[in-house]
Amino acid sequence: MARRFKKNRVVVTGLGVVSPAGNNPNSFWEAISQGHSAVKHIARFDASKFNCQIAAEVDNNFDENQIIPSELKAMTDLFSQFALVSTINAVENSGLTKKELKKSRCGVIIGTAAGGLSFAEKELRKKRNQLHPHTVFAIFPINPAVLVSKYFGLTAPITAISTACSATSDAIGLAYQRIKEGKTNVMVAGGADSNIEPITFYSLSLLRIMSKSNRFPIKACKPFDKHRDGLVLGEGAATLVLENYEHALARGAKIYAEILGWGFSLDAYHITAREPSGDQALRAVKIALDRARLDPKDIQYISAHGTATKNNDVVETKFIKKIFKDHAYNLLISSIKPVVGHGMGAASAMQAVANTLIFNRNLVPPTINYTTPDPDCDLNYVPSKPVKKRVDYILQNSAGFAGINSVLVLGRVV
Amino acid sequence: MKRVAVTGIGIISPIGCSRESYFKHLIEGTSRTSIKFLEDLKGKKVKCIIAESGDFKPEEHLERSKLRRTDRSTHMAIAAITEALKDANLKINKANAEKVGLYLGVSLGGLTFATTQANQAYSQGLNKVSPFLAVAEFPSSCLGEASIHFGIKGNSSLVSTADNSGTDAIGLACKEIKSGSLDYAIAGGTEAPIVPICYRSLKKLGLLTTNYKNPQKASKPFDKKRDGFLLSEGAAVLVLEPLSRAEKKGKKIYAEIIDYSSSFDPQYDFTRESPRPIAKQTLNDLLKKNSATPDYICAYAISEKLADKMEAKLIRETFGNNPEITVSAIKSMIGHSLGASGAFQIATACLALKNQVIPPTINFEIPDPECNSLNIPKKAQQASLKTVLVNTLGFCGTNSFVLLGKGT
Repeated sequence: MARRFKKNRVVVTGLGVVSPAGNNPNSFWEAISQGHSAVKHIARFDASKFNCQIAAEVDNNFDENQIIPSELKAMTDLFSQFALVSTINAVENSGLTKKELKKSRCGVIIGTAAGGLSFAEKELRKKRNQLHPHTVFAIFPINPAVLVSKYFGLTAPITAISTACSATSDAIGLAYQRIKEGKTNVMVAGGADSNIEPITFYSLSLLRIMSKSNRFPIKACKPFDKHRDGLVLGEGAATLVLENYEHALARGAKIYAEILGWGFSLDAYHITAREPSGDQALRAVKIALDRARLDPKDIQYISAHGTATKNNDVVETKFIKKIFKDHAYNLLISSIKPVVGHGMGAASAMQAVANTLIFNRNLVPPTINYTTPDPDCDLNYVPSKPVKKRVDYILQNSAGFAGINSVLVLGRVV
Repeated sequence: MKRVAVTGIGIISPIGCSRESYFKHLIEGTSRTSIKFLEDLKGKKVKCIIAESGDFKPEEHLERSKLRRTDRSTHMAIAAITEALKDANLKINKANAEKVGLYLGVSLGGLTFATTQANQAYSQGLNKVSPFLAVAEFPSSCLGEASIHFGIKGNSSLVSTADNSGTDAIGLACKEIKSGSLDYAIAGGTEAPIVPICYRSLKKLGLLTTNYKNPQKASKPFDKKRDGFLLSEGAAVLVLEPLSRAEKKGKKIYAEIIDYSSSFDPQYDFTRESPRPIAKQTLNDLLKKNSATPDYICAYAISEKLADKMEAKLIRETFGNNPEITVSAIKSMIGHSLGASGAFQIATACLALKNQVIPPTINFEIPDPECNSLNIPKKAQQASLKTVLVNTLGFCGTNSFVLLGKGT
């Protein structure tokens, strides 16, 4: 059984999300737990000539409370806007006031795979003289952290971590360390991406990692299924407010979950494929479990990277079996990507919000579209329907291009 | 807590594509700034004053297949890492790979690659687009490609904090050495921002120099006639390891990285004169914590009207009129390479400490009264240096400071 650290425990006290499947934690949870996929034919541009014509897009009205003034909208990329809205909602959800944030020296860390490169792509389409002067600032991955810190008037260090599709696991990991080291009592950690622009999208489709199941968008993304044919691109943002446990208790905050560990490693193998043995990914899991002071058998649920590419799902299954041995078959494992798509840098942020809610709802979200078992993927992926279960420890897997492995361990606060 | 030693340096810069060439030209006060016409999407030429790493030959560092799928910022990073590893005599192998980490800072990612691809797509159709576009344009590309190229498997990160990226990447890497979680950290910054979209955006904001008549005099930090910064490119990379072990092994030590601190000034607005109180407080806390007074400040000094004035004020208010403290602006020679620039300052501080010489500030002809009372030598100066301060004060309001000490 787990041996907990007593000092500077790090808990989650606020959640925010801007996703293709809902712009608040409740509607997001409803969609992922009930398996209501947000994957559709692409609305943002004409993709009819592409191999892949589907994606999970965030609704145009994501800024329901009109937080972002129109002049700011014109000078920022969607990824920054998603992050700003999601973060403001997360802070509101935490019940922390501006004054408390400032007093606790709250820092901001945002993960993103692309930053504002979509803004550049849009600007390049325009006529020559119309280039927005703030283009460079809109591209900077740090842009949303700047906006958030200015909005709340925060003075602590801000960072953007851009480790491809595992960026937000790393952002959360760094934020967790800052609180653990006693540098601060509150951190805002989140992630955002928006890459549904024609050139980037087309280029991704050339990598043969995207699903071509264009006829039935909601059924397209099939993690761990024998007939899986690739990922479906998503977008959005999700934010966690992390807080020192004592600090949260003292102010009577609602506590969702505890961050127990973070592990990182590099495959140093291939630019797009995961290293087949999964040994470096496994090492990241071990580091995270060690830091959490947990045994593999303590874990009950794995929030899978589960992209539905041939390569990922086999490697992910393999290293899970290597580390968990017989216990691998007792584990519940699922991927929320068939519902919200692969949000790249935002993907692990959305996973973290989902995982936090699992402790709260005592329900494990399913992997939808899983119908035909693959002999290489023979674990319990929670097909189709959610499973009622009290889960105490969750392992969250993320992986990024070029073999970046990042793993988080979350726990119920007891 | 372990102490951090710098045992290797690699540099690709506008004034030299090796550590030695860079520092020699820096001490000599070289500028290779030139006028160049960059072609934009519509085939129109954009007249630019830039400091390119013109001598850089990527094909000497990477095979063709890798060159074609990656951005120039990645090419420069890999070349600089190669030199730094060799300098530190560090060979990455199976036995140590998991204890070697890579911390790179880049502010824009693969924008050069992205722009070229967009150019081709809009002029010749989408079928000209490279399947590697998305991979190459992501800021993580340099980290991923380098990890594969060198076999690095340990704790690593890609830090993107605009102008502060390189400084913050090195700061984060120091923490890993101090805590003992890594045996070696390779850390630095890289940036290849010389593309029309970047140049025109910064120019529209009025941040760039427009001294087309005399490009080599365009970058003049703290000078009264400065009119904006000089856009440049490059990569600067350090090898960091525990000081005690480096000493025991009798390794060459350039410097010790004593401490690093960062913060954010939410009120700061680069378009107008605005205060930077948090920067001042962060710097004061850092100096106090380490009971340090620098002999030399390798300043941020980008040659922009308001930014230089703000920094001069910060230095004056922190140190008073202390004539013992010398200030220099390396950007007068190498320009501002955005995310790489802080790594250049830190590498320069290391080389200054090792060689006990302060680089000159060129084009500093008419001191701006608003940046007064700074001791800024026009020629290189031999000096007895013990402590060096590096300031990074980005346009977004991000403050990063690094204190370096003399190695043994």
